[in-house]
Amino acid sequence: MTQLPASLGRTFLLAAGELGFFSAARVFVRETAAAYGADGVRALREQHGREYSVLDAVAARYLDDGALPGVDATRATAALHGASRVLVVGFEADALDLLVPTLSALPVGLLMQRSLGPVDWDRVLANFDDRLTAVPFDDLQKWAGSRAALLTFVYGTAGSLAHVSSEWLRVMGPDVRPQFRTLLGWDLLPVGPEVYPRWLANAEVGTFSALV
Amino acid sequence: MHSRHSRPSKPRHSAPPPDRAAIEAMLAPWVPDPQDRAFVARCLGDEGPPHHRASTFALLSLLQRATDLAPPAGPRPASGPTVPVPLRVPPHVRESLDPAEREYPIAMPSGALARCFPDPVARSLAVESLADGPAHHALANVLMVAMLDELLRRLGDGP
Amino acid sequence: MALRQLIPPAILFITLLAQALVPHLRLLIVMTGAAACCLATSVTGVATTEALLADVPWGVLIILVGLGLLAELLAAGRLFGPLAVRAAVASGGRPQRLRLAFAAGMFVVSGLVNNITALVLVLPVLLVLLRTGDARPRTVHWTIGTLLVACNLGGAATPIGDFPAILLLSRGSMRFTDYLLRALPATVVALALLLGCVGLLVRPERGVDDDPLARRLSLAVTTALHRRVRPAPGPVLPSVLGLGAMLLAWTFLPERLHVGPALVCWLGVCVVLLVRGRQGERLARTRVDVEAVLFLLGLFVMVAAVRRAGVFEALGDWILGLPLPPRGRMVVFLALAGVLTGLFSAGPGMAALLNVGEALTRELPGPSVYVGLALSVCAGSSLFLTAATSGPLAQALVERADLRDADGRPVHFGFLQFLPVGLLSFALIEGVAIAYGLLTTR
Repeated sequence: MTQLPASLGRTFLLAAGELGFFSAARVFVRETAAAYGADGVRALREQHGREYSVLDAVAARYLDDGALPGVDATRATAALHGASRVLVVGFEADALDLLVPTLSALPVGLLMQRSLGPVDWDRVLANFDDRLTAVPFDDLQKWAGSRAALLTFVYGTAGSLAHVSSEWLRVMGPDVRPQFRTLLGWDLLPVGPEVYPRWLANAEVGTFSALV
Repeated sequence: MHSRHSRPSKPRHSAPPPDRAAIEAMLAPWVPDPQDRAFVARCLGDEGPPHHRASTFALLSLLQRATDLAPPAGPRPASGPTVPVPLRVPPHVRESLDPAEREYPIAMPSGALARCFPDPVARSLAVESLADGPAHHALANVLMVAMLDELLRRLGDGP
Repeated sequence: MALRQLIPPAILFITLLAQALVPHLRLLIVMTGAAACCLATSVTGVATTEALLADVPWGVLIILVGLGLLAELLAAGRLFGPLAVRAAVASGGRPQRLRLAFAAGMFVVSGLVNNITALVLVLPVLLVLLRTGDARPRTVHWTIGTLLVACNLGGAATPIGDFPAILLLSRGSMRFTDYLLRALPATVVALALLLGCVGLLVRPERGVDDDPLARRLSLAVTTALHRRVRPAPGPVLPSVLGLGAMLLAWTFLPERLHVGPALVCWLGVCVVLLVRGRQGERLARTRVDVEAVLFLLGLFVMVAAVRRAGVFEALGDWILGLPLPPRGRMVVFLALAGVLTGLFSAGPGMAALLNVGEALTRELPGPSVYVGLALSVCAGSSLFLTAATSGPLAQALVERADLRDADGRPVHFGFLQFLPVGLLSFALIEGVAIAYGLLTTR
């Protein structure tokens, strides 16, 4: 089996902290495939897939289709039509890179809450050229409103459960839910992970006002 | 004589989920925008304790039935006196919100209440009590008042 | 020497020792020492507090505050992050090239902005590379250590890079171009010697197998983390243009106009910040480095007290009276300056020693003494991790980055880990300082 760097798991966690699990997984599968081909991706799955379910799913998709899972912001953009502002909970670089420019003049906030580890928020926000506003947790409700939207990323569903980052559960209190018109889940891995989604949390599918 | 422990337990049923489509249909006359309607319907059908959701749906269904059976009246007046329903956010947060988004997209018609409570103090107390409380609770009250207002209008009480 | 003359230097010595031993209380210690000096000179009739405050070189503080604000604006303009990423990509992720690229980059950046800002701008990118690569302790220690020394050298390379050179400029000891033309080549030589020694003799990466996937991932993650970070023209353009105008003014403004370096900086920075409107106002209100200003103010007051007591004059006379030729006396002075700076850090070292150095210029060319002194202070700053303020900051940033080796063990960067880098750097830079002094006074 292809020998992968010993530090790969820690490096993935670091990347996932600031890029998101899905976006980091795309980088790691792409680079591993470029260095060692499909054998390398199989080794990646074998050695790190059980620890990081999203990485496992992206690698599986690559091995099945020969391509990385894509990102399409069309449906998320449509679901946010008419919103007065969007507050993003959790982070996925690839998805937000596509979505934020389509929201034109709409204020877009990013909740500064990550459970994966320390995040350099200045660096994260610098990639969006001031289009994303950093929102401390205490200011969460300042983004509420009768046309406001909350957005989070979903990493597949299993029955009535959606796999989400745990920040979503911190936000989804019964007091906050009625303060936002739209509770949007953007499913980046519709097929879902094949292994236990460690480091993710579960939310009822029905708690989203829309799941795209 | 039955001991406390030998008392047969009551069968418990989980409440059936309220019919969101039906709630949205009930809201349609008062909330024209479909996204706004979905928002209020979510607050009524998905939020709050399950027994509240079920009882709200039951009461709304009965009111809808009563309204449907009442004789048709002319078109509703385009605008009557209404009371806004504020989003339940802390006061300092409320001030920072866009003024256009501080209320739910449904307002409570106050015409029938005015006729029922001619005393302004009593009316004010009624209005405040109806529009206060958790979102699911306040919005259910507001929708019921709106439906009752329409029902009374059809029964000849009102403009 | 009378007792009243000995009290201020005794307070200065105790204060400097205490702030070096208890660095987390250094600001309070220095401010208390300064107040004690004022009390001592007032009671003994050496000088009033007003006289000591009048002796403070306010121009230095103005330049420090002004350039600090300019650096903040440059930082807000995200100019250096993308450059650091490009340097990383150009290095191909290979540790030795990475060290070369970042040391060279840090040298340039710290020549333009103060060392702390330079470190905050450049180090995070390097830390990402180290975190995402395989952070072997030896590689980490020598890479970050070399970067810190490059930061000190860059600060000494230009008259606006760090406090010692700013002091020379603002006191009128040297003109802008005079300093630049002498110090820049000397510091470049010192940096080249350091990088050559590390790359060829120390070879931190020896015995380590190259892992192409680890390098690929390290670069890919670093690039992805900065994927769309672009310099913001709004803050960058005014600061670059303003700095350029100030450099021209420092270089070409005739002396007969009496527009000193501090006034050029004061005016230039105000104009640049005014151009930025609210952002400029916010920076001016919130980003002045009060800690540095108060620390240096305290030092200046103590140094003024010592000078008023006639101690520097006596020291200068002592050095001039050493039974050595003038160049020999200069070598002793420069070596002493290096060691004292290593013990007491650059600010106190330069503030006190410049007064003594002035005595040497009676028999040797001023530029040789002053540039030699600035290089010696740079050598001393590079001796221990605690000798320059950038050292503890780098230590904190590295600790926060939570670097791990291949087996997951934490990689620390502290006093002992820096010591080998410090000793080598001190020997090389002090050697360059002395060689510079000797070669330019032949």
